[in-house]
Amino acid sequence: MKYNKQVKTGVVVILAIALFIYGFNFLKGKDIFSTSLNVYAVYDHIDGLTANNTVQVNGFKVGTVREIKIDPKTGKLVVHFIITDKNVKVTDSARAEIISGGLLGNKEILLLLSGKGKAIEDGDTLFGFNEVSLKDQVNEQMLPLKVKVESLVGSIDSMVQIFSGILNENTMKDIEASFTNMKLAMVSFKNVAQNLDTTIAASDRTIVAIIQDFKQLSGMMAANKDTLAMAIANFKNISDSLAASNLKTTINEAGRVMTNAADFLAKLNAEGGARTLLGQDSVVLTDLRRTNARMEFLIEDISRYPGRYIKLFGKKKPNKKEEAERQRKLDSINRIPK
Amino acid sequence: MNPIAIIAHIGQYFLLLGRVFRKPEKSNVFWQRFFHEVNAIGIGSLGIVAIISIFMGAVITIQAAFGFESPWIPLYAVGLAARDSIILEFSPTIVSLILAGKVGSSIASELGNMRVSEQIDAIDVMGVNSASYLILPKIAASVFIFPFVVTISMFLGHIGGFVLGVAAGVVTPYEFIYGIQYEFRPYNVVYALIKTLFFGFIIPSVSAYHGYYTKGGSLEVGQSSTRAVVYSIIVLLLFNFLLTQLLLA
Repeated sequence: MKYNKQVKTGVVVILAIALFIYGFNFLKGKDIFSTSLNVYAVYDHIDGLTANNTVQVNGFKVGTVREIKIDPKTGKLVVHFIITDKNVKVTDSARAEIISGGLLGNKEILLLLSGKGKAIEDGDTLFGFNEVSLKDQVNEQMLPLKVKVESLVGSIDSMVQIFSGILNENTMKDIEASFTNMKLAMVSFKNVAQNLDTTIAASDRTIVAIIQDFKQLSGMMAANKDTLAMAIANFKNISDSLAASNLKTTINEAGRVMTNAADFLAKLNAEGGARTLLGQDSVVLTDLRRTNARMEFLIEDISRYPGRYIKLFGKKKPNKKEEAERQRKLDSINRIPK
Repeated sequence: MNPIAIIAHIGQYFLLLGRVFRKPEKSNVFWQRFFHEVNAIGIGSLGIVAIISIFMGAVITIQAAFGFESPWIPLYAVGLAARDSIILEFSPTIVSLILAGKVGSSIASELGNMRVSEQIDAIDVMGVNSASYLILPKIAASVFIFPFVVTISMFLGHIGGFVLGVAAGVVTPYEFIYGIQYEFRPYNVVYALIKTLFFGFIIPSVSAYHGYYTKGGSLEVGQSSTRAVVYSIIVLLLFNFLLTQLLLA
């Protein structure tokens, strides 16, 4: 046959091309003889995910990343991946997380299946998010620290500036002088300490004796512990009774009385106070004075002439002179103005 | 061989190539010879390529599994290693080396025999460009069919690794398929096919050079055939290095 060689060549070439297409797609993770589900997920950052990376569920490979492109509208990254495993039930509530997988540190998409919602269809979009990487964790921890350290360094800087402002030549001299003084003071202190030492050494025995006395005293106190406790208890009782008694009310009352007394005295002290107190007019006062004078007179009269009042042995004749004197006094009392 | 002789050989090789790449006298004659050579070089080698590829894939898989027998290395690394070895090196280079032995010796002895039996002189006397008439279809057919042969070899290598690796119990089907799909770089295949095009050119041209310039009798035909294989392999390995360095490094 004339075309035998050409036919053979054609068969081989077609076979090779077919095997190439099938094998190449297979290695890319797409089995062209089995239908697969096209799924999309949107990310801000894909973290080094590339086409042909694994899509897995709980570590089991169920698909492959096919393509990553930028959405021109939102500027976000749209990852197109396929799910080839027929047994995995992906619902619309599943989430696609970019994780670090494998020994070589490449990225994978981990599908977190919840089982809720309805099964996804070809071309659906899942919610995508990134795993918190070690780098991010470190950043999260270090960033506040860094800010603090920066502000701290700023404070230290300003502090150092202040110090360098303070530490000019004059202050340096002052500080030097203070150091000299301090040295002298130290020497004095040393002397004092030496003196004290000598004194203490001299009165060593006395101190010992004092300490012994204290010891005895405390021993005694220890021995009479019960008695002391009783005494303290008694004191306590007393104070309790005091507290229980209406001391406070009493004190308040006393305070009020005192206040009244003070008012009274103040009134008394005020001009015409006594008068006011003893009546608005002077009648009372006059009466008082007269009464007073009469009482004085009466007392004197009694003491002088007891016979007038106590008659034991008959009537006695009054002395004319005495009578005149008495009359004069009475008149003077009656003359006290009203 | 002294350096000047090597340079002289290189120069004569390129002079021959200059004679080869002239317009063929008759296109229908060229196509007839082209398909003849495609059958001789490519399709005639498919059997040995298939056997080599299947066992090569299997051996790589089993060796990788043996070498990676460590809890730290996941089992899918076996498939990964087998895939990268087959695509990057074994299918393009090893298959080309074997074809250099098979095809190169046949080309060199064919041309050498025609030279010593003065058939080439007769063609020249007829006013036909003997270099173009004899060598161009071989080179064209080789460059044409080599990528397809290597593609088939890649496929069969993976099949062999999968079937025999699983049969030998060194790897599970899931792990192997996961491994050969893991971090697949399509460029590796492009690189392998670019290499193959160069090898498809080197093998027939170097072999034809040695056969075309055979001097003496049938004994020298055998010698030139051996030389053709040896130099084809050396040049092939040299270009393998250069291309790898250019394309991958």
